[in-house]
Amino acid sequence: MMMTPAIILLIIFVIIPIIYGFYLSFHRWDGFNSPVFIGTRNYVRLIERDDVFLKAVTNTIIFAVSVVLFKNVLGLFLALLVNQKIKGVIFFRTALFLPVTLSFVVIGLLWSWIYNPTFGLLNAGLELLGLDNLIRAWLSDQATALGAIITVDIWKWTGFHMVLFLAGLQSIPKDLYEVAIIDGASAWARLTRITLPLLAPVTFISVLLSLNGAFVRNFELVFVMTDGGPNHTTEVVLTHLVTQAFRFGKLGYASAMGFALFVVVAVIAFTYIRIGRSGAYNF
Amino acid sequence: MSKRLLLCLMFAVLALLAIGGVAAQDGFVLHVFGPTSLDNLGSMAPDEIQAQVEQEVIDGFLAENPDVSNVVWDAQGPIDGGVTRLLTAHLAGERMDVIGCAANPTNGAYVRRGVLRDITDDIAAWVDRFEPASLDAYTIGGRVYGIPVSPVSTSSFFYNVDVFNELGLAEPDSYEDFIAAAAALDEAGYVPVLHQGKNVWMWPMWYFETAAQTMGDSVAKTVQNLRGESKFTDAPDVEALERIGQFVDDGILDRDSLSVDWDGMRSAFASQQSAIYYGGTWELPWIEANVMDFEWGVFEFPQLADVPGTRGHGGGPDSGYCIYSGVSEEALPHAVAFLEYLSRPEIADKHLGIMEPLATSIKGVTVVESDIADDLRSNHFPNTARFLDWIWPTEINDAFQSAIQGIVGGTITAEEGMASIQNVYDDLVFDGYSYDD
Repeated sequence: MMMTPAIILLIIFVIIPIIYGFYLSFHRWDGFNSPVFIGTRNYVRLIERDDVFLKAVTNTIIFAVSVVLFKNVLGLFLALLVNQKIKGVIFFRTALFLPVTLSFVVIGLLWSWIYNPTFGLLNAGLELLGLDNLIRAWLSDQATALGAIITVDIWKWTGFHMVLFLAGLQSIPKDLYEVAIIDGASAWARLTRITLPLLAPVTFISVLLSLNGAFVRNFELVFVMTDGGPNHTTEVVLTHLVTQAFRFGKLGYASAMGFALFVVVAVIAFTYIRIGRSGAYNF
Repeated sequence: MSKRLLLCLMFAVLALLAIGGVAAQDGFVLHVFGPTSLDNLGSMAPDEIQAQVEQEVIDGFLAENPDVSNVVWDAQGPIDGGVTRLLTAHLAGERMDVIGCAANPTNGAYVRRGVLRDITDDIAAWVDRFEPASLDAYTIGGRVYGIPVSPVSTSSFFYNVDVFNELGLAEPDSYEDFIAAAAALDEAGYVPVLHQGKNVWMWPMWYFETAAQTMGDSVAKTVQNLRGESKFTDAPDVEALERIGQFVDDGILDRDSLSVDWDGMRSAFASQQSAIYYGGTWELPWIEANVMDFEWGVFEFPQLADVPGTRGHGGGPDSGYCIYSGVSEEALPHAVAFLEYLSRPEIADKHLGIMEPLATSIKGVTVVESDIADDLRSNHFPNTARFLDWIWPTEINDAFQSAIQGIVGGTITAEEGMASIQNVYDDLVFDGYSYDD
């Protein structure tokens, strides 16, 4: 009985919209007129006709692989650093976590100014260091635009993963390290034989969260910083979906795109969880 | 005092307040929905003057229409989010009677999606108030879907006259002149032309200019393309895109423009980092108010070499007012009355006059008098053609924006760019699009 309100809310706000979205994905609907049933035509177009969608999928995969890798590696590295007994460690932990608390819009605007080719801090810094050959319009140069956004996403979330790893590190019994030191284990051996294996459950969660975020929480940053441009260089599936739905009034097609993304994320997450359960993470 | 008495008193006070509230809302409330902040009356004027004039116009309308108790005016948001805002308002069932409708989305999206009422018969009695060419911007298939209530713009280069004089440069007339001027400016440490390329919707304006010259009649060719009688991949279309890339390759247009927004472009010009910028004549009020340190002037887009056509700057009445297709029977006469009131020359003189227009869509409105205004009226306006993005569907417009970014960024060829636009057109046709429907 106690679960009933939660179940009702889940049905109203999650289950019904998902079912309705799936229903819409088989229709042509511009939001103003009645939906028209067109069978699988939206899905056919997605695969056969929409070059921008394919570009967006490619960019999303590049985005996902990069951020999952860097957020976790850097997060672990920083956690190892701030787990030491050093002066001002609380300050460093707070400073590194601070970007997590800022909204995407604030961060997007902030970094747009940092990347600004004329007034931006980055180019000014490079000039100061005599690295003039590296100066460029970071967000409008099609060779660097996606990388520039990926860097910002990593900057924002690394602190979050650092905290996860830090919690994991602090739960590892100290006597394991003491015994290892007595046995003459090197720092590298302690990291690879004690720390990483015992961090496996945390690593599993951290990677799963970053993987999920990389696919379904990349809209705001891209939208604020480049809106998918220049020439779709930074287009991700979510920005393309929103453009199709709300700018071009192709709500049925956007629904199909949403379900395609859902399937991709579900397959990756399911595969990852299966790998985790098969023993790769030792839990 | 007993609790019962206290409750009775509270109830009485609440009842009085409720009656007062109802009385205040007695009468019809007209809802004007603006998908963007540019849909306010006199939107280009300074904020405090704009708000004052808007209130004055609304008060005048209410005084003449006692059945209407209030006009709720909701216009906000950026120009490129206009279609989205209208769609979400419609889906949310938000009340809309009159819609502020820029000519661009009206032609590119609103009419095609059935958002607007055909008002041909509603405005028949007073249709001669409008300049015919301006009314054409709201006429589709012979039916009128909105009234143009706007200054009429054209496009121009705005330049720093002092810098040109200092370097001994004349206003460039031909493309070759422009290359020479850009080289001299670059050598003197100025960015020749900085464009607001981050606002992607501004890029097609360059295409309107080049297309007018490479195609001859770019409006006719565009209509042919949209009817499927010719293609966006035809040689003149490809050349028009190619010529934009040439502006970058020849050192006229700065490639960094891709990450510059409206404010950045204007501040670079005002602070004399850049010597020239390109835009519509809607820039004039801002320049007059903010550029104080040097003399500025205007010159036309240059004549390109070896092309069949002559200059054709994009221009027209930028905004207007339409009636929502879902307007109630009760609201319709009030909405029509409001459009009629706004378009009276003496009323338009108030809300258009504050924008110091060069010309307006409504006859009899006072226009600005100055040397530059005279220059623009006598030299630029005769070479002005309809904005092509008032003919393209929104999807084609977006494809152009992306392709031009690719050309300016140097990552695609003109052939690839136009092929991507043709693909978008083919996809629209696949989806049932027909220009004449």
